[in-house]
Amino acid sequence: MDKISHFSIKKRFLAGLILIVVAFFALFARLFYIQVLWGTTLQYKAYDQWTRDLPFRADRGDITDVNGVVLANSTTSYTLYARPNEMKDVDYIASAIADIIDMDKSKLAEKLSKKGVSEITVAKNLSKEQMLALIATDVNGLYLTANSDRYYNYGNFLTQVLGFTNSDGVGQSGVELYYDEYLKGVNGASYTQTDLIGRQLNSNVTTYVDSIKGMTTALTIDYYMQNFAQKAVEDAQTKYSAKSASCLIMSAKTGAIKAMASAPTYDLNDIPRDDMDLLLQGSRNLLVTDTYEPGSTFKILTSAIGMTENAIKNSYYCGGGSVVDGQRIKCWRSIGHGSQDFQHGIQNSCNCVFMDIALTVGKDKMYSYFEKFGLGAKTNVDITGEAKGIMLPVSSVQNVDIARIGFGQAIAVTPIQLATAVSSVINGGNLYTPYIVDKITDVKGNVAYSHTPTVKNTTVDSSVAATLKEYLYSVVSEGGGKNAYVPGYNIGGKTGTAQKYENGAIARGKYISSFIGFADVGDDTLVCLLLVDEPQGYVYYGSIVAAPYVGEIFSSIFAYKNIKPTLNPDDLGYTEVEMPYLLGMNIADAIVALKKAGLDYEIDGESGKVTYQFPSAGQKVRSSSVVMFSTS
Amino acid sequence: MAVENKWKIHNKLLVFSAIFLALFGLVMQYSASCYSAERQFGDAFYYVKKQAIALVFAIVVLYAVKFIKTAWLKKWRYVILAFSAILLALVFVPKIGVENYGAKRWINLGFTTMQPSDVAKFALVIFIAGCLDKKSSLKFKNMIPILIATTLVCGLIMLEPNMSVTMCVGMVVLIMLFVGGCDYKHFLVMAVPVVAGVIALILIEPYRVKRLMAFIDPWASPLGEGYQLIQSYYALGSGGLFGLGLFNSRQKYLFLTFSESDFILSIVGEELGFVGLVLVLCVFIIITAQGLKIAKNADNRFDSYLACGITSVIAIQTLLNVAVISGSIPPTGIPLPFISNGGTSLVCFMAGIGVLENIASKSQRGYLNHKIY
Repeated sequence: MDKISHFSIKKRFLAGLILIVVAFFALFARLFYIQVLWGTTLQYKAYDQWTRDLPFRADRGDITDVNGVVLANSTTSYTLYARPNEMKDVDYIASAIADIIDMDKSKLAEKLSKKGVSEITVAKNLSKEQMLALIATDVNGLYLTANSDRYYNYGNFLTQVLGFTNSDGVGQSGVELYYDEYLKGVNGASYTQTDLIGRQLNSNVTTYVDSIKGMTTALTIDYYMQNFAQKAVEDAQTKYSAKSASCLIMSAKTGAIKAMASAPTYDLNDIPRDDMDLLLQGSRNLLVTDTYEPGSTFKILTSAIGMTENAIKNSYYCGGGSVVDGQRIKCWRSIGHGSQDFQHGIQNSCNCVFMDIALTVGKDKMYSYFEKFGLGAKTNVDITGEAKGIMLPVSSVQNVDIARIGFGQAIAVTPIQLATAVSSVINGGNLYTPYIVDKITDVKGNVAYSHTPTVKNTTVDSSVAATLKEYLYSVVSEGGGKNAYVPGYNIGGKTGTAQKYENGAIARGKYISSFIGFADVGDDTLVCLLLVDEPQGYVYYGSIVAAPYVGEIFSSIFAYKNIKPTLNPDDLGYTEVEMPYLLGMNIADAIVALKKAGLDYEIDGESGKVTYQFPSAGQKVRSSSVVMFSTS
Repeated sequence: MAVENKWKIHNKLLVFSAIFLALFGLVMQYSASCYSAERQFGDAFYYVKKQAIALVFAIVVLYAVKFIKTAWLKKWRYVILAFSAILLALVFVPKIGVENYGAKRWINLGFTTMQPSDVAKFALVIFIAGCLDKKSSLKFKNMIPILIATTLVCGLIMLEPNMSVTMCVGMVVLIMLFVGGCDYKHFLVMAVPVVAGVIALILIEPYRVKRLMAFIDPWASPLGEGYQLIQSYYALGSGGLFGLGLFNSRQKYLFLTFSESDFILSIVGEELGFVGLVLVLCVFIIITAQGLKIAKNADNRFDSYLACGITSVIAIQTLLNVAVISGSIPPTGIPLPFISNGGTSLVCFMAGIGVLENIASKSQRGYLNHKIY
């Protein structure tokens, strides 16, 4: 038998015991870490799996106009479910809840005693008060779900601006998308304690966390002005079977957008969710997302630049076009405007005048002003999908290009860019950032967001702006903008008729007819830009297609704001005359007939007999307004 | 040695600690399993009833074992080893062996099932104590029969497979060899095949090793390998310092599986907190200390090694169970002695306590106190 020292064995027993006890204490340390130091985190995670939450979707915040007219709101209704096999005393339950949900007690008891179904719908469209009363009864086997629905009070109104939400109540376009964070609110939930499979525990106490409604978002939009704009674009689009018609009204003094309308459009309460193309097309805010060649409305900017740069000559001659670098560029009036000063050049919208100004100023200076006007860059209006516009790179701009740019071709802008830039000319040289949301307040009335008008930079000298404004008033009182005239009021403006380009070439017969007008309305000065995209038929002049609607809009605004006329209508010789019959006449005879009637005119065609006139013979028109005829 | 009254309990601390743990186990098993048992069997007491019957039987066995002569165990050690090896082999026989969760660990006795590995652990301890009684483990050649027997038992358990019980048996053998006088150099020699085995496992089945190692970051597969450990963490973490209170576990609502058996300590930690858990584990430390004290004061060398081996099984298995539920080692099924649900395990451990009490009743002055023997 081998010998082992007894002492050594005793020591080995002790060593074994110590080893085991040390191992125990190491594990105690590990348990302390898990249970005490890490415990709260683990508990939080565990709570997630112990409960089933039934979310209550928060009501989205209201969207209102600048005066608080509610344009979009949310309504929540609750649905009551019952699981009969979880109910013990059906009669007691029925008597407890019958009054709350306005149901006959015995009928309810009968419904709840139904066997062999796991869940029945007891009542729908319950109010919040009913929901809270039902929770207070604390009856087992009853379940509530909340359904929140967005409702647009005026349906087919401000469609592109407001936008819409998806079925989960998440903003998808327009203000609903851009301000979703403010509008969405905080969801609530009911928490039920369950086992792994989701079965409610006997010890369950359901807790409810109320949802918080989203914030009220006040737009700068004026409900009434929006209505005027909307009626105008609907009428224009229908009358000219145009691809679209849009209108923007903006405060020249702040950049606040007062109205933003497009036609055609759709009802926000019945959006074409199953037609993706239509939905996407109809949800685009064309005034912000689309670029176009502005044509003659751009001449306001060219004028302002020319005046600031002292590039205005005493007299201009138009022979129906100008030759630039050996290339003849036509004026819109092929017979020419003859000799004229700058103001008449604006009134006549003579291309030759503006080619001259642009060439005199030179492309580098022109481009530096464009930058000041914010062309080629986003205005940063709070609307998604804004386009930057398209400008030729300055290095590749030839004289023929800058000459065309002078009268608004060979440059593409968004309507909101043009309106913002023109506003800066009207207000004396301040370029504002346009905006559509004025103020956002939470449910307690705290202001979470408000917009302060910000001047981005100055564009032109204020004295230049004042003079140019006078010229632009004369465009409406005497020149091509007469159709926008509202008797007794000072309205300035400029017409625009731009040919559309498709794939780099002029698209025959496709025009964008526009008019940009402005007028003082009380303390404010409003700029109104109206565009008709691809008017069908023979009429496409901005002076005829677009200007009258701007006149109508201003007329409505004056009435709405109770603005008294500043001029005596009689001083301007306002009468109603009858449109003469022109068909079959030659041009000279037709002009004589119109002059006799006291009407101004636009001609389409250079020779031959009159084949079309607008308006048709016999219609009443205002004296000295612009009519149109075309020859074969 | 004068033999005192055999009917008397000599080491009351040991015996009542064990019985306390078993009774505490019944309460905790009820708390942990009442919901799942009600759902599964329509009887909230399903597990507890079976375990209570096993406990009555276990206490009878404990008392009966007091009267067995330990020399008889020494004499029949080869038969006992062979018998337990046969039981281990039976799990692989169709119809007798019962497969659960992809492992063949049970044999069907008709009226109940039993785990042969519970018996084999103690059989191996008896065998090794016998070997060491004859020849100490000072010399390597003396250890050869022990190593062969260990390889046989561990191999059969590994085939089930049951890694944690294999680990448990291996560690118990190491402790016995250490106490038996094994030289440190011999441990190094023994380490060679173990290290080689681990490397072979990594090379042959890298996927399985990766799965085993998933316990390091259970959130990498929260619904797969990581699930059980995450649930154990949730239970322990929810318990915090003082626990949610007895019967207030939330994890028992089917989230934590095996909550009445291998993971019962997680429920203890959830309901009684860190403090309760440590107190329960202190009872195990008491049992360990008492067991080793009995070994030290044993009447003869065989009894000493036997007491040491039995105590080691209790201590090691407890440590491994705590290590599993606390994510310190890969989660594999190993029950907690006395407390986890499982009849065979309870009866075997109570029998082990019986043997310790038996040895304690004989030893007034241990053989180790004699200068010569």
